[in-house]
Amino acid sequence: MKREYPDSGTSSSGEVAPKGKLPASAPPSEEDVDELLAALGYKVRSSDMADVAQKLEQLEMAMGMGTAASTAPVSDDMAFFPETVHYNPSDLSTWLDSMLSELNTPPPPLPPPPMPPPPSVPSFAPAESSSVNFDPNLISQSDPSRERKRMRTGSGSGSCSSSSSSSLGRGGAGTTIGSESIEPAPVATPALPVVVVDPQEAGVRLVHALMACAEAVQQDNLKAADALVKQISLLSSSQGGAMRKVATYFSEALARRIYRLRPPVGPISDPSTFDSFADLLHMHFYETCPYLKFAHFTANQAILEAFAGCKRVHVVDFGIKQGMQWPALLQALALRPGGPPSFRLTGVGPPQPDNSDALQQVGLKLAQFAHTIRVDFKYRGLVANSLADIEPYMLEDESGDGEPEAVAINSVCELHGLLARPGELDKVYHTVQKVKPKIFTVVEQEANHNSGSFLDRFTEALHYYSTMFDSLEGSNGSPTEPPSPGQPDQVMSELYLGRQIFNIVACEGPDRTERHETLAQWRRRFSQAGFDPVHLGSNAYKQASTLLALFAGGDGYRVEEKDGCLTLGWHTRSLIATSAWRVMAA
Amino acid sequence: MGAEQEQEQLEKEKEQDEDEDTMDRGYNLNDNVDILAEIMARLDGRSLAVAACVCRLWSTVCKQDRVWEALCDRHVIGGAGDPGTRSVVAALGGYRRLYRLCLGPALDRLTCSGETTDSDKQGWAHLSLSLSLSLFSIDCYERLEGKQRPASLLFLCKPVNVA
Repeated sequence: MKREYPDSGTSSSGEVAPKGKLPASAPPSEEDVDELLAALGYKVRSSDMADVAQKLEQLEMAMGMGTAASTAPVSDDMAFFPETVHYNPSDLSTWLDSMLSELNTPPPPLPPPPMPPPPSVPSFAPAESSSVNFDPNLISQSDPSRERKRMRTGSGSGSCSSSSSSSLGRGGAGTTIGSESIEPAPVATPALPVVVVDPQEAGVRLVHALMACAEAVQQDNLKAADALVKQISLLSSSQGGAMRKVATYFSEALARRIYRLRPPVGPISDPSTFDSFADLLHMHFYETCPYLKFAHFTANQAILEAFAGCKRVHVVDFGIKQGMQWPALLQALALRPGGPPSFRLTGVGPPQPDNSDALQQVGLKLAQFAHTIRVDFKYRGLVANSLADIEPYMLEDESGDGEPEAVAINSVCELHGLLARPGELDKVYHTVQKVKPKIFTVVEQEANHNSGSFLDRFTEALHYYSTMFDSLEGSNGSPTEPPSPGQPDQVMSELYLGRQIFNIVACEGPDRTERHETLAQWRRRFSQAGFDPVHLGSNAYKQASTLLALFAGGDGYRVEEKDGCLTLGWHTRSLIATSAWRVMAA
Repeated sequence: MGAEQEQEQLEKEKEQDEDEDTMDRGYNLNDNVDILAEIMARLDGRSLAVAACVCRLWSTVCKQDRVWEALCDRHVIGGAGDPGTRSVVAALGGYRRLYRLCLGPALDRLTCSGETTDSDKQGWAHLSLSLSLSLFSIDCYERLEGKQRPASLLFLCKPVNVA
């Protein structure tokens, strides 16, 4: 394409193309330097434009395909081109020649030299489109270059536009990478936003690199995978926002898988701090985004409806954690017509490594709360390594007087872990059947992260967590805001999700506990195990919708009803699903 | 005789006082705290907060929970008025607290996310009683521990991107 338009000097698809304005602005001649670029400090002869563009493309390709020597930040750029001595970098043509002459030693992937868009881009856009036949790709870039189009891969679309807007809006941060990487290329006007690399191209390349790396891992081609991982981390530094974070977590997970670092090393894996840290992350995730709140509210509504008219109720929580779900239910029971029932709660939790009785503390807090609102409350904590260890007799009513208890069993993101060891889920189903609850509320992630093929799992997880991270970005306001006090929450929430990513990608066998399955898959399991679905009513739907309207960025969240189950998703992708079950009548 | 004279004198003084009253002061709202409370009960949250800053008397009146109860009742759908609710809300911290922590920010968020920032749009924003009390009870539960920064309601207060 460049050959056909020597005067306009269209560049590779990776660059912003300021040169197209030439025919409209200055008549080309031998000695004439392109005015627009000159304003930025580059001296390029108009006649050389096509060549310069071609060399830029070659350089970019060479950088993109090279294997990285190190994962050092791109600030230490001069070390990458030790042989070249640069004179007069504003003479772009010769500078490119010297860069390209280093092509024999595989150059590390650096972002291409920054091409700041000339300020007059928007005004020349119409002239541009009329004068030459650009392909639509190019028009979309030079035309308001400030707004980037969505990435072609579906899931990353939201993140790319947000990341690109963040890289442009956060002009300062964007420029530092640009200016540091190519030190000898001064930007004439520091105030101009420097677009380091087209995020669209780099984003696509990033996703391809991730997929290629996963494929290499699946084929046990560890050398290639290793090289790709390093490339990924450099590519991801050119992105911003959600895409960068997702790519970072996934590349680290791949690295852990390649180097067989399981369980993951670091403070996260330290067994003595493991559980308390996990709880902390869980709390931050609860506070930052609506998924867990949605889960609690919808499950509580189902339980409340199931308990209508019962005088003695018993709730079994398969993962009590901090007990955040129960104050709302206690309050609702206190307000129901006819007064509150007598309430018993059994909380199940993992053994604490430091012998502290976390379960008992949660129970005390809940008891205190229940006392405040005058609900008769009893609590029992059950310590269990796995849910399969629970036997029906542990859940029995010890006082055994008068009216029988109505039992509700609640599981928020606890069942998928049972799929890691064969037979455990069936044991739990068996126990639940024995207890005969009025309702069994189940909340699970809506994704298939448990297929046999690693590549399938990886792809699914990439889409799922990209959407999750997008929603975290979206719900925390625009990226150009100054860091609000909520920022550490966001980072913690991302870390919480990151640990799930590490588990899905880097672990295998019984270690891989994050075996999410879709609602349809769970439905099949429950039906086979002898459970009937209970439809969640419109009350739950309305409550959930109002709750989501309260979250900033609320228009991105979607509550949907699917066959009596409620799902919460971000734009078109469902992320978490609540369903309710009861034992099939014999 | 003396008594009659005294009475006459009293009546005269009263008349003089009344004359002074009608000439100088007229009817003063601050003398009728009940009516003041009734009026306050019809204000919206912001006006109520502003009114509480006017003077000590108004501050006392505006701090009464029944004034805030009337405000909450207007924005909440559900059995807000019944005594059972009242006792639960009182146990959780009172209506004024409910509005400050939960209902106020939530209503702001709901009207903000709507297209208009009309002030009377807020009159139409509603929250279900169960939702607002659920959020309130979670916050109350968090405070039980004596946490420095109970955070479950922070999502209501974070800046909304109004770009």
